[in-house]
Amino acid sequence: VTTLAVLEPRDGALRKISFEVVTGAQRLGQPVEAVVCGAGTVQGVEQVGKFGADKIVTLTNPAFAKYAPEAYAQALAERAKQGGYRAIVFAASATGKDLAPRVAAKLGVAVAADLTDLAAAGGGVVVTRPVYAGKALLTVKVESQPAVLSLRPNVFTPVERPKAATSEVVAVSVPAGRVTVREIKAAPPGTLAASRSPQTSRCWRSWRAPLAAGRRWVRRARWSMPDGVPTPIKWGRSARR
Amino acid sequence: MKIAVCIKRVPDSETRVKIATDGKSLDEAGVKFVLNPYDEFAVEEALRRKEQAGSGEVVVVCLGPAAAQETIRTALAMGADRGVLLQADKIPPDPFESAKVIAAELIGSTWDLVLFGRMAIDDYHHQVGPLVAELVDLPCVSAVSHLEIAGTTGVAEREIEGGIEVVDFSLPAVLTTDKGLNEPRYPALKGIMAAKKKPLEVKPTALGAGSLEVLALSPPPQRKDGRVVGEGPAAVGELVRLLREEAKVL
Repeated sequence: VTTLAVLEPRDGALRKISFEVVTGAQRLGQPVEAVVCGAGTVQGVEQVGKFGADKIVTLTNPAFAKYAPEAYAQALAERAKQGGYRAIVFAASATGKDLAPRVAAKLGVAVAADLTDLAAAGGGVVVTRPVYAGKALLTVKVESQPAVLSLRPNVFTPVERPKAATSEVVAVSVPAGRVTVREIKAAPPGTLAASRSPQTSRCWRSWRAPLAAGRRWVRRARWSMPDGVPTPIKWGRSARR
Repeated sequence: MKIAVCIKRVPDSETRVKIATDGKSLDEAGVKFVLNPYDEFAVEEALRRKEQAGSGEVVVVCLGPAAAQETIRTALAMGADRGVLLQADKIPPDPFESAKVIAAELIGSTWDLVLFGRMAIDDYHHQVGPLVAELVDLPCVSAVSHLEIAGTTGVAEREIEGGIEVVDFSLPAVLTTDKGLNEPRYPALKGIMAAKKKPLEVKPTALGAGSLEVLALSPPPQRKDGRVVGEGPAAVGELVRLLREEAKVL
């Protein structure tokens, strides 16, 4: 049974995470069909054949120049319904996290999200996903047909398995979206939460935070003072840090 | 503005995860449960929008066990007007089942905004918001970290890898809130006292089993010991390779 790997384009070119998706999708067996949405041919899309895709499908529509959530979801869901796929694999990137549930809802199933491992088991798929901020791993059997999965970025190292992939370009029609991406602007450096680890992102609003800050400050002060000099303690100041 | 905020009761982020004897779930003995931190952003945003509009209603909807009433009271103490508890003893691991019952509850009235947290800090599904949006057929923007609303149109910003996506959408809409959208308020004593008198409707809810079946909940693999790659400039190449391929930090 074919697995559908959903590639991720941005600005008319393929993002590298797409190779991870194609690599991860092959854990469920062959063949793997890769699908991408674009206003025209997506730059670099032929490269996924190098990573083991048997067929590359480009769904084209003028509305696909930028990420168009509703149009992408509509086109992908229609493709998924026609194909009779075992699984539809997304990347759990910012865009994938937005797109996967929309497609899943149109297919009447849930997403097994943010996977770190997956394997075919009988008619279904057995997946592993971190829960409780990575403090535990949940092993889940996905019985839905198709299984909609999203893979955690940076876990599935792309492996080259060159294949002579066939390509297909399909023009699709989609309804006008109610949600449109106007632009992608540059973020001020160091401000993107996506670049921070999700596990450590919640220290805020904890009653322990000021205490920990105080302890850190005392520890720092102790090390920076010469022997015998008492360390000044300014609790108010340290608690704000 | 009539705003629905969908919240979840989750174990506190500082919980020590202890696996129950069935090997499939969290041992809830001694675990402190809180309002999901991402949902706090949603509650705060709803309250600010209502205050800005000068009138309206903020309704908190929660799917959870009877004990989730306490979680709803937290949101009411922050300033929400009333609560609805969709009471189910066991929430199945399939988020589509949760989305179905929440959608069924929301579809009964008209809303200007429906807010969700981006994800729950227990099961990390980050999808119930968009699933509900599809089910009730409203436009949806997920992981909103900046929001401007004028009339029946809105502009939201979402963080994506290497940039910020600016999204236009029309109201009514379903939004999921991310960190950075606002600074949630602490419930004041006055609010906590007032919350006790606010209406809270409990509706028994039956959920389907869904198509996801939990096989096991296990502790994460132990961290491996550190190791010395080599010494001197000769080891640099190997170190860079390991950092890139094994540690995946480059």
